[in-house]
Amino acid sequence: MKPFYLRVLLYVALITAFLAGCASNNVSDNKSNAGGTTDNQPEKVTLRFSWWGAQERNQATLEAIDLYMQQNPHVNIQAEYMDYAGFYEKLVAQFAGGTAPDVIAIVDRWFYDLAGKNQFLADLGQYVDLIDFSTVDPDFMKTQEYQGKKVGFPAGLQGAVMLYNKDFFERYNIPEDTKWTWENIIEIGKKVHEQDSNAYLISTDSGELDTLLRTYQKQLTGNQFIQDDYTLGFTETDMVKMLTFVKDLYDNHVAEPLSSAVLYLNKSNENPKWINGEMGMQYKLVSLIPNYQKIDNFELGVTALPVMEDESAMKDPGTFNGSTLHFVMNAKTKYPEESAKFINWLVNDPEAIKILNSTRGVPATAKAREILLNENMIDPMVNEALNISLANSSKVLPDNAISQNQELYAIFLDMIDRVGFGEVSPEEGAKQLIQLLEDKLAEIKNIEG
Amino acid sequence: MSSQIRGPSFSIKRLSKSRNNQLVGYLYILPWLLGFLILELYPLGASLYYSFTDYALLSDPRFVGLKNYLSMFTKDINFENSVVVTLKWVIVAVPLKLITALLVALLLNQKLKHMNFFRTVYYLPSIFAGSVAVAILWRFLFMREGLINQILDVFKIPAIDWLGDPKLALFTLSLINVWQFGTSMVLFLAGLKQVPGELYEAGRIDGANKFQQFWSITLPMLTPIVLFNLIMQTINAFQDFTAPFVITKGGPIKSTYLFSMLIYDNGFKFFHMGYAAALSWLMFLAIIIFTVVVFWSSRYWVHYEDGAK
Repeated sequence: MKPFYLRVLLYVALITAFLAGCASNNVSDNKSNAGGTTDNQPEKVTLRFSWWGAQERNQATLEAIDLYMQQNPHVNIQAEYMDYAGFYEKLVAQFAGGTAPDVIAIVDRWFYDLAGKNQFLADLGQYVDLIDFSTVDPDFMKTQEYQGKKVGFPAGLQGAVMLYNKDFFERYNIPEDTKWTWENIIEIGKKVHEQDSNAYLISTDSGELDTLLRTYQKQLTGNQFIQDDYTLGFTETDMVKMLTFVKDLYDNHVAEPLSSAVLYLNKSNENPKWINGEMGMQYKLVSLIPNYQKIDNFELGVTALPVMEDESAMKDPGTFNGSTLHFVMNAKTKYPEESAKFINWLVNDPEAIKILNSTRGVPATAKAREILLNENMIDPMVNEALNISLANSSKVLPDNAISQNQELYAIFLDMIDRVGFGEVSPEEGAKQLIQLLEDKLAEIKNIEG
Repeated sequence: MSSQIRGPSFSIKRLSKSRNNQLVGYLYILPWLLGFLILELYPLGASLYYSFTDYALLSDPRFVGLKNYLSMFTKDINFENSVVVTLKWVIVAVPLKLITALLVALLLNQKLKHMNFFRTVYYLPSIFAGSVAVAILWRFLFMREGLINQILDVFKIPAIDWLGDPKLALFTLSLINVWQFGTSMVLFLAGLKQVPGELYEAGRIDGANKFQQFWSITLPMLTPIVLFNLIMQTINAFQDFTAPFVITKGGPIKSTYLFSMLIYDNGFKFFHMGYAAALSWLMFLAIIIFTVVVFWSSRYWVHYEDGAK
């Protein structure tokens, strides 16, 4: 029987050793980030590149990747792409587990979590010999840095406009050059619905309302939504004005009831009412306009976001402008130089620029815009929208980290919902909201120490 | 081969054989055992540890003691709502599901043609438990322009906001849970087949009608299965997540914000992993208490044919 015992013990020992070996291999793999790659001889390199997107962007990016691999045979790029929904949750889990990709597309809002105290992203400023930042307008680039560091390369320009249905405007005699104000939206919206009880001037859900209201807030106060010292950037009177706009929107049937809009959260291009031309206009980020141009039923137009009727009282134009996304590099990548070269190629190489086109928004580099304009590759409507947005740009940009905190965002969204459903009055809602926000801010301050 | 040895054995030969068998046994279950230890027990223990920390996922956990458990009841504005919503969900979905399962099982117990086909068809939905595709289908059925409203339109009934009306949304979503009654039904069916025919005969002789037969013979004989289904389905219902997450995201105005969504948002949206872990352990506690209470109460209403208690 002795040999049998020994055999059993041997098997158990082997399995345990195998598992232990695997575990420690993974750990050492991630910790031993090569201090320097031998870039005398191109060693075979594998880079993981992850991004989110819809079909057009994904196909263009895959094409670009193929071209890069052709031009750089020692580099193998593994593409990891998915829908936007769940992208950040997955990325955070990857960073927490040490399995994040080398090059990543991220929204600048995520700098706070990833680059701030946690240092998961590399400082691209250390690779300026490999990445040409001079192609981006220096003033714009300053707004895209994080704590003075170049954490990412902005891939595209972002702005916001009102996107409208030209046929709808014609049908209800709304002049296309109407200067929209928070007041005349309600007036005209009311008239539209009186003419046709199926029609609504504005297509919106609580998510888009939140962004509209933040524009209004900047116009009213000239402040960030939450100031840098964690105090509110608005007074109770301001919030009552904002929530009253919400109430008026629904009381006067300017927007379709939240109970039917709620299913199209962030997906209003799938809303049958919009597709059938029963809704007039909506708040839209410039980079999303191409999704709407695919709907063939009617012609589209773009115009500026609403302003206050009394323009002299407006403290700031309010419209958001910034970048669509940034390309960043994992601080623990094994191949920082190769990753840097790849990022530079994506944004500065003429071939790449033509392949990627405006799938990530109108490019942020003047050089890229020139190339695309020469080839007539920039959508004129997107270009027009960008110009309108820039002309009305807020001076209070970029939005600070605390204003984009997800918990505060959820609290505001819930209150907008409650006012929209008629559960609470704007006055009562403003009071409650301010209390909730201040409580949560105190908690956050506490945790951050 | 050596015979089964019961009790202690003093013969060295037989001792080594039984030890031998034991070790071989462990070897066979080693893969599962390792999986259990690494993938189930370790994460369970880790989550208990994390529940006493502030863990922002991207930075290291920081020990804070009972803070998470206290702030559940004092600082979380969504906690009470989620508890109430989840209780409503369970109280509506589980009885409805069990009653439907029982009724359908009774129907399928008849000796009619094509019964096998119907049994399969009624069982199929429960295979899709937690399916995202089913959730998307539900949204398509119940949205304002969805199929259900279109059917109602044929009968000139005005469209209803099944998923958008805060008062209706929870009920509409719970129908997914109810629709997947297949597993319970199959168990009831098995139980029905085990009710001895003599009892029904005796009942008929005494003049019992169909309903009395059901109430006094069938149902008591089924109580062990009712107990099992009640516990299993309630445990599942407490943890439902896919439907509200995919369709309504907890809305409108958090009327479908189940406890599982509260855990998800706190863990993956707000990065309060420690707090999310604490919430999970609270739910675990709640489910255990519920199970214990039901088991204890079972001595009063569950009838075991073999006299077991």
